[in-house]
Amino acid sequence: MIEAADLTKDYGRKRAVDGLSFTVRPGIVTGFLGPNGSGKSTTMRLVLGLDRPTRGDVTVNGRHYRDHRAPLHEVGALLEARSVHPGRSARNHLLALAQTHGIPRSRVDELIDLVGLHDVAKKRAGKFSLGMGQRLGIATALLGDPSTVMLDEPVNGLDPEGIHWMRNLLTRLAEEGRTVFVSSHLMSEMALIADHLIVIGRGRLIADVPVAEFIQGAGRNVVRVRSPQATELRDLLAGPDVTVTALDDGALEVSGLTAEQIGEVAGEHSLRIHELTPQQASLEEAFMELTRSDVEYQAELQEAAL
Amino acid sequence: MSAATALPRLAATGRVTQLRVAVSEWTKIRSVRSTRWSLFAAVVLTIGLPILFAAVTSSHWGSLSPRERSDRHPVEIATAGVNLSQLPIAVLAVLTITAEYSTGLIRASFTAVPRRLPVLWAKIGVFSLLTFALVLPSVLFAFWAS
Repeated sequence: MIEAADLTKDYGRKRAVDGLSFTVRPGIVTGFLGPNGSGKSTTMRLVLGLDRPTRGDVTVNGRHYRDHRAPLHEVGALLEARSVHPGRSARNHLLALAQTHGIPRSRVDELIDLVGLHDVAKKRAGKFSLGMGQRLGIATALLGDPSTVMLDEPVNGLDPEGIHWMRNLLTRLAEEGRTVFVSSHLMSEMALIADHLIVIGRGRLIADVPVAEFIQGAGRNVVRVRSPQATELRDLLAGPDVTVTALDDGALEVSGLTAEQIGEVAGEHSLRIHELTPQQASLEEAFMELTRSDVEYQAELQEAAL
Repeated sequence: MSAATALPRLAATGRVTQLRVAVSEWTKIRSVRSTRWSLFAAVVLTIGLPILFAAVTSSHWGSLSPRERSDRHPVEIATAGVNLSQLPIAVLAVLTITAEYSTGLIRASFTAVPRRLPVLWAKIGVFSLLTFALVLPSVLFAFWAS
């Protein structure tokens, strides 16, 4: 469980995180979604106490991270930036971290096998590919059998097989009752992994909703129809898989039928149609729409800055 | 990656203690090459230079005046290498901290030990013991050999 209240972080005059309040619950995968530079990584650093918030507060399992006596058992974290000495072997890296908590060597070997680094465990971590580095980071996160797992862009650099493995792992961790908090800037990835979404842009909270609701609200495939004979049309279109909603401006929103089908029905009954617009917003578009005004590096902004 | 995705449970959970952090720092310091090289250099300098100086002094001993002879102090010769061997040791000392920051390892270290100071004490302790344990015998050996 991660609880943030009015969490705010300034770097100089730049506000990276702006009044974030949210709760990440156990037993489900919570996606942390936002464009690059929206403050996801900063938020995660604040959770771990690597940075001090300018204002507000964040706790993990009811306490500040630094007040936990055995932090690796509370939170396992994978940060986006690499946190490994390139000259040290993967095994020694994990061992050094394990030893701070008295975690046995056998656990280190167990995790090396789990993430599939067995053959390279004794090689220097600096020689690792991006994907291997990512697996080492995941092993680091899971070392202490933590009740909360927080991963920053975990699928970065993984091959398709690795991505599949990661999805299964996250689902499994949530099923075991752990709190799973995963950031990404890819909506499609989140749609597959997460149960709940926390969306931020420019450091501010934009949405805190279940994924199902987010998809329903944003990613629907509907046809917008305007007709002076809306009531007749509505009755004609009615069917088991069809829902027709009247909008405030007098138009109808029809789901379950294509624009062509609606046109045919209207034509057969000589009903006049003023507008027939398929509205197929994808998740990606919905996300873009939601965060567009918040994307940090827009062209206009850059021009303004020049 | 293996198909099995279940995370094996950890039987017992342990707390962070100063001793454990020290053990961790010991693992860190012994598992990088820079430690071996700089300590090797320190030991070679500590032992090698006095032997060289002693050899030079004794080969000229017959031609030295009594005054010059009284100027050649055995302890000075025996510790002639220490001045130089301080350099690789200082380099290593700096590296044990700066390498953590330059590689980003510090994030992992402070995630494991968020109270930070135990890491500093452990680094100081482990580093001091290690260098002391290596350089003291080296100096004694240098004294004996020269």
